[in-house]
Amino acid sequence: MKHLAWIGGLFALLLIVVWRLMTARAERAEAEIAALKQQMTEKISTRATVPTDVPARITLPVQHAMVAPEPAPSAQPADRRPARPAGSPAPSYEDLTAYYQTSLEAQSIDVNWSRDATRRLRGVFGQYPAAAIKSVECRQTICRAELTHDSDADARTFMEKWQYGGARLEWQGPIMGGVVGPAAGGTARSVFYLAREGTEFPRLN
Amino acid sequence: MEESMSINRASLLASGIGLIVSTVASSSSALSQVIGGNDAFRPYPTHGVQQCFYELYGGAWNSCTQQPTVIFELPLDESGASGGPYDVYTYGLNNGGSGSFTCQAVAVSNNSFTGYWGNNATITGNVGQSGWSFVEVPAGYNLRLQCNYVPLGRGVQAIHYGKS
Repeated sequence: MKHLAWIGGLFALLLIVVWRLMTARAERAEAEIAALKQQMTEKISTRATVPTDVPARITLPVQHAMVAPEPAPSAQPADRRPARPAGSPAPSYEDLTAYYQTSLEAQSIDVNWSRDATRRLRGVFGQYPAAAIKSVECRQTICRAELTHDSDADARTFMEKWQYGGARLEWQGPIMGGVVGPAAGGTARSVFYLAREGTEFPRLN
Repeated sequence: MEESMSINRASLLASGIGLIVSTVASSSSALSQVIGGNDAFRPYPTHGVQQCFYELYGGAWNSCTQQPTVIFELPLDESGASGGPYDVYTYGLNNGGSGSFTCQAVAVSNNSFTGYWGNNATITGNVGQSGWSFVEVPAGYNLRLQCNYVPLGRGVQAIHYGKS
């Protein structure tokens, strides 16, 4: 009995030590990630920044210049705006989608990634019979896809399947969007923004 | 005697795991909220595979050969029109299973067919391994964790989340 108690105690102690070692390793990794993010912030600050003091959708000069492919960014684009004051309301769905649209329009085009992402997204959305692809546009780190549905019922059917997973999971990056309302002739429309795998959408503070 | 020994073994194992879980919780102080895997989960989209999930030291694991998707409702700090950026860490559970699965933080609306689906985090179920998913919760939206196609013997031990 005593032996068992000792063995059990030692086992628990060993597990705690192993866990602590793993936690320390994770903390070191987080510190390295924070340093990398800081480096990215400094690099990105030298590029053109997106105006952010506009609450609603705005039109920016669209940069159509084709640039040489760049390696996938390892962190989300950061900006230098002051953080949102504590207690202030979070951005609305409309605020966020307007900001992502503005950010997309401000991006140059990574030709290789844009072509590949567009092809893959057409493959993803093409698997949903209740949706028809109207357009897919990808630039540097953000894509926008617009779909049409024959009816509100089709739009609901599509969203139920979309939420469950399935083909959506083929896209590993963040996604925001959904049904944006009725369209002409009793049809419906959906718009999605999709961030490149390994990146996040730019933060709207 | 045999029975008493087996009870002691089980209680020692339970205390060991309890210590681990408490250590996990204390080491993630930046995340304001913790929820056990067996709390507030539901199979998605139906409850048809409810019987597949069993509790194990606060976690929930799948006992069926089919691979169901489960959703965990994650209450937000504030009520009403809250939201903002959230980090969600998922700690996997392994009860003799194999293979990995993905979980993602999701912000959904009760009033519209719109949402935000965070990056997919891979969950292996190895002790101490966690997967991170980030989500921007629009004002008035709810926060969830969706774990997709959980294999037999795998599950979720705990979820840590908080404002980013």
